[in-house]
Amino acid sequence: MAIDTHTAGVAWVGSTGVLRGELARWIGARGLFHLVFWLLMIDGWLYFTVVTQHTPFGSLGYQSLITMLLLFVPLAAIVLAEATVVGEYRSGVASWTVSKPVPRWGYVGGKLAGLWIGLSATGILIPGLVAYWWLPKVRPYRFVTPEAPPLGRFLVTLLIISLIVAFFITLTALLGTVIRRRGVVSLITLFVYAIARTPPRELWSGWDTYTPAGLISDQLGNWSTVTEYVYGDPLGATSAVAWTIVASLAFAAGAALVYQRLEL
Amino acid sequence: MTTDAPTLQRIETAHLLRGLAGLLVVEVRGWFPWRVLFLTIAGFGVFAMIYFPVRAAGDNQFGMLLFPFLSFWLAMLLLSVVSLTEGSVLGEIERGTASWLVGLPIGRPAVILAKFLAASSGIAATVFVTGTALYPVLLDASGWGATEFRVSELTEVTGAPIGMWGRFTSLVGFGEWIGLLLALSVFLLFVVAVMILFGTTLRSRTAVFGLGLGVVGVFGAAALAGSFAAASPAGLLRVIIDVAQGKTPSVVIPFVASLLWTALVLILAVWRFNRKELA
Amino acid sequence: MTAPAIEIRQLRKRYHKVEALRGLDLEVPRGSICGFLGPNGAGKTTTMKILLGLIRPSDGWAAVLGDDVRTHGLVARSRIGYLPQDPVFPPNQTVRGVVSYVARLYPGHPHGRALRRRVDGMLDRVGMADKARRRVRGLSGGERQRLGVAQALISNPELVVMDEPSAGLDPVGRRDMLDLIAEIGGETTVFYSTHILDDVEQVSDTVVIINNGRAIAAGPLESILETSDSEYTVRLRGATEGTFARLTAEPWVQSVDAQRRREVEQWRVRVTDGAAAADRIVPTLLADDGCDILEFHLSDRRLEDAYLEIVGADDGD
Repeated sequence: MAIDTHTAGVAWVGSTGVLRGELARWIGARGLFHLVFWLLMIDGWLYFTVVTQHTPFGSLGYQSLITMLLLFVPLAAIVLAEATVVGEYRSGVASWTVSKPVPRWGYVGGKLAGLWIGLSATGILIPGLVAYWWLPKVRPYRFVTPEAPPLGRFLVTLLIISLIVAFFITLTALLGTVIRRRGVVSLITLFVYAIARTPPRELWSGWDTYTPAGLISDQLGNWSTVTEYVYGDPLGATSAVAWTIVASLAFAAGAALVYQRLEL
Repeated sequence: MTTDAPTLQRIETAHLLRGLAGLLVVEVRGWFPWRVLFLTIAGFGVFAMIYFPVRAAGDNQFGMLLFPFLSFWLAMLLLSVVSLTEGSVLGEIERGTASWLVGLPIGRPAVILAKFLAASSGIAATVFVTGTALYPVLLDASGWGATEFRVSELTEVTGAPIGMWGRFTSLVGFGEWIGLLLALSVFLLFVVAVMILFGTTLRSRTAVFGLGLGVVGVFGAAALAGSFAAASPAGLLRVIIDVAQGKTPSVVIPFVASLLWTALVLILAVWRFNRKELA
Repeated sequence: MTAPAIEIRQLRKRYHKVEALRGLDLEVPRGSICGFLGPNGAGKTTTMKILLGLIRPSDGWAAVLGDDVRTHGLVARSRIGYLPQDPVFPPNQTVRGVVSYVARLYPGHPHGRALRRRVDGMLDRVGMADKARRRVRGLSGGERQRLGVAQALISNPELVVMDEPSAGLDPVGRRDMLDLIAEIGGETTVFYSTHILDDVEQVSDTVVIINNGRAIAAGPLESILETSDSEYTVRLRGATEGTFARLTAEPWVQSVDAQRRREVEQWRVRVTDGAAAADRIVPTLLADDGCDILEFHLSDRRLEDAYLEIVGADDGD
């Protein structure tokens, strides 16, 4: 099959234009807001629970950090992805964008990629690295001063969390292109998120192998796989990582496919 | 012929009530039957997802049913309320129907009140239908026996001073169970009022949604931490936890406080909407 | 041979049981300013959305500048600038941000300072230079329309498609929009839909009239005006009944529309045979001494008249 290079070139320019536009928003006021918000939400809350006496039980440094990242950032990802996909569709911004020389798959891909990169940077990477820096320097209210894990291992942990966020962004996008009603889309995805955190293992043993549940949920009394990994255990759920990536790509492709057929 | 002030006031009140009644019919239709049906079925689904595996695991597992079900059901209801009400005000403004409604002789408070009452009735109906239908099943399951297990890892984050081990022995009486459903409903009404207030104040649905989740999280954490719980809607969550654990909770202050909080939030929402420019 | 700017053959679009387009055929020559007219619900916006790839046709074929919109839609859109009806832009973006964003979506766009210069020049051209840093949510309807024009033109398109560009504008804004259309018509092909027939008469050289999903008239503006019958305006005073009866009995008179105001009657005499009318109308009017002729002239045929006649005839069919 001959490749129409001219069409490919037009598609490339349009798609990267959308991605660039999304990333530009994260560098501007929106990015600054998110940065401040996440630093307060993650590092501020972490400091409150680790160092101060307001929480009688105290909390373990890196374990709490991972818990917060896994609790708050995917929720934000669902909210923002819904606003991006469903909100722009309903407001007419999507129709306006796609009337330009932007392929529909490029519009969906650019929007989702931009959101993932921006949220990962402001909500995971920067707050995570800031916490990595100050946690070994404080004296916690309870327990001992946490010893920092190797930076490489810590960055891999943040990457896994980012992949989990990608899963929820793309799932929301797929549901958003099919259902196209804001409240319902977020409700379903939030429900999936809740199940991922507390999967009914008795119903299906494959949760831990084939979904992010294997990374973020905990058996009662134990830590999540990601938390154990940051503390030095081997990553016991590599299949969950792989399937999370596969699912994310499949959801993104599905969203693009559905969008191709939509009448705007 | 000029109309005196009391007559004008009566006419305005009549407009408000008529407008409220008319809008209420429209808004209630938005909740009944489909949304309520969907949420009720989802509640049964949550129960089934926990009940059947636990039942299959054998005896002495009642606590493994009740606490996970209540936690999950509460989370589902909270997320549902936030998701389904985040666009109630801003959605109208974005579509332009808010300007149209306010241009009718019905009064701005009627718009807010109608949305609140309709959402409240839908949510309360969901809670009571689901909870009442499941009570006999739970009663039967309570014969399985007691169990002990650890509360969720959120404890690790907040350092909540509740027992690391929960003990759920038997189901409370039907009266107390209705009280639990009432506490849950009133707490959800508070969340509805908060979402409506955010909708009248903020300009972005994303912000309304995010802040709504944040408020839910804050009150949830406050309930678990035990701080300022009694004099706020968080106290209702403590009522739910206590009833689920077979304890006799202190109910008067949390109920009164929550109703007062809800009323205050609603008054603020009406005040904000009265001043909002609908371009 | 250069392909027309727009070429449509037997285009059909069905929404469940509603047929929005029923075999539309039309051709817009390159370099023309084409007014796309039709009643509400005739299929104007549907046609434009098909050209822009926003909706798919049920049947038929359409091409823009020689590119099939179904198979080469992306390439086609890279040569089109589009102003939708009631344009919607990201509310938190600035005016400059919107235009820059659009510019970057087109191949061959400038970068850095060159892009900024082009954007600033375009904003200046549409009268939005002083509002470049304002956010979209703070714009009025007219300002939003100007922004819409700017983002439609920023890529120097070969075809500009505008869906009701004057809608919602005040008279000054409308005037400016028409001047802009006339100006850009010299550089590119303009295809725009409107309900304001005066606008079409002022700036368009080509007209397409669509009704019930089909084109019922198309061609140069002059030919559209000529297809309709001639009309005379006569103002009389006095006993006019006899003159009226004589006039309406003439075979070259199609209709006489009489309106009375105090003592004066104004007649609009529509004739089917211009030559016969030119020969016979004056003697017919003067045959009776009982009425005085105050005014008599051949009316300039307005597009509105032609449009109503053409659409009315189509509806009658």
